[in-house]
Amino acid sequence: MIEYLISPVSFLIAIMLQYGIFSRWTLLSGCVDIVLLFIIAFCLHSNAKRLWLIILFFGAIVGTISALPFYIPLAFYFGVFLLTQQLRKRIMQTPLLSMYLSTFISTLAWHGINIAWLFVKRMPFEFSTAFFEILLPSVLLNMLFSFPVHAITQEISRVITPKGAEA
Amino acid sequence: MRDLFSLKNIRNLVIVTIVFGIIIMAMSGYLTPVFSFIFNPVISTQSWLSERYVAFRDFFTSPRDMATLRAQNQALEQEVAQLQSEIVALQESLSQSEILFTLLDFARSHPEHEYIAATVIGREISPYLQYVIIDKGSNHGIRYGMPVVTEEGLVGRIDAVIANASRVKLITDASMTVNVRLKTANVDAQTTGSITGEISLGMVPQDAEVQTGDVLLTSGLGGTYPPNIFVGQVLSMQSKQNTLFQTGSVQAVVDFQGLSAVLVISDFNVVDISPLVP
Repeated sequence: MIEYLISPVSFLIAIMLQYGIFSRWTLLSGCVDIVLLFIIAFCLHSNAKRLWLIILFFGAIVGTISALPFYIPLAFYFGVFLLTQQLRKRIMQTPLLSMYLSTFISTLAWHGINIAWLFVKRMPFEFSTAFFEILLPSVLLNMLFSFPVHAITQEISRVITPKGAEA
Repeated sequence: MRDLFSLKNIRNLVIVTIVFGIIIMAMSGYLTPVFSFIFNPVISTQSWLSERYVAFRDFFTSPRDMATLRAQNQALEQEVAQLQSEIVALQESLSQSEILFTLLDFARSHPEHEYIAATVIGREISPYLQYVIIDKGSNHGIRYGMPVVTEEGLVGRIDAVIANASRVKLITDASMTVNVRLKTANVDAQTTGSITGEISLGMVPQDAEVQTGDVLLTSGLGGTYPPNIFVGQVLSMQSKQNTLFQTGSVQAVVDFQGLSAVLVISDFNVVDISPLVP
């Protein structure tokens, strides 16, 4: 039960950190996505039965704040949840490997969705600029930050649900 | 008379004489070696005893003093930490005040409009979009479409509003187009943002002579922004013979990465010309 109290607070902190701090730290034009990393790490360690509901709720929050259409973050974070659940079943003994793999795939997917949306909105941009100045730096930053986020989330999970640390 | 020189009296007299003699000799210093000989062992013993007593007493009382000192030290450290945090808070307030004073100067120098000062509290999560979030919303009189400026120049316009916060679309966003006027060349043009936050200049007539460093001001065309707000300076121009217009790149006058406080022009009525756009 405590997981349902701790996880929303942790998600809110992650969202505030992302919007307040990490979105301003840029490498070229890319930046780390702490919310995404936190969701991946949390999905890999949490044993909450209704975790999908929490993910949808926070997807909705991010969708409301973001300039992207409401449904994009909502659907994307739910997709991340499904991906991590699959990886958790298959690479259960190595959560860090699952974390890296999920981060890599999710970051590519997130940027792919963003670029697709720019295409749909007919915004003028060059794919090479998007790839080299935003996508690649963002992937690098996400991979770098995935380890500390994983470690922090693992510790939180150990505290609130000792069973979750075994995953 | 016989009683006066009795044996008893003579004995007492001798004793008194000896005592007075000893006292006089002691006062005159003749007995110092004798006293030294007698008292030195006593004094040494007393010193030894006293030192041991003090050491013994300190052994039991010093931890208490240490505890007191530690408590005092901890209290002082807490006080220092509190004062340091107050200094940091004051420095932040000072920098915030400096920004607000600068914005106030801008508002005073442009009295034709009414302004609402707001603090930037966040940036868009998608790196492809250039938006910031400010801490003022509809409760403070902010409405959709209001132009946003700083003391340096144009920032963007309000894109979404809730009760106590708003989202500002920056002029560096890829979907943002601003009608501008080149001050020296005196021609109208348009700036367009990009996914990386750079601003490009377009719709400049081929016959216009645009120099590097030429100042860009809002033209007011389209009714989205008030005229004569500083946008940036021309960095470079490109002219191709087979195109209708010249293009160029613009150095924005506002530091969008370090944006911390903005002014929302609250009395500007945005003209919605979208029904007229074919």
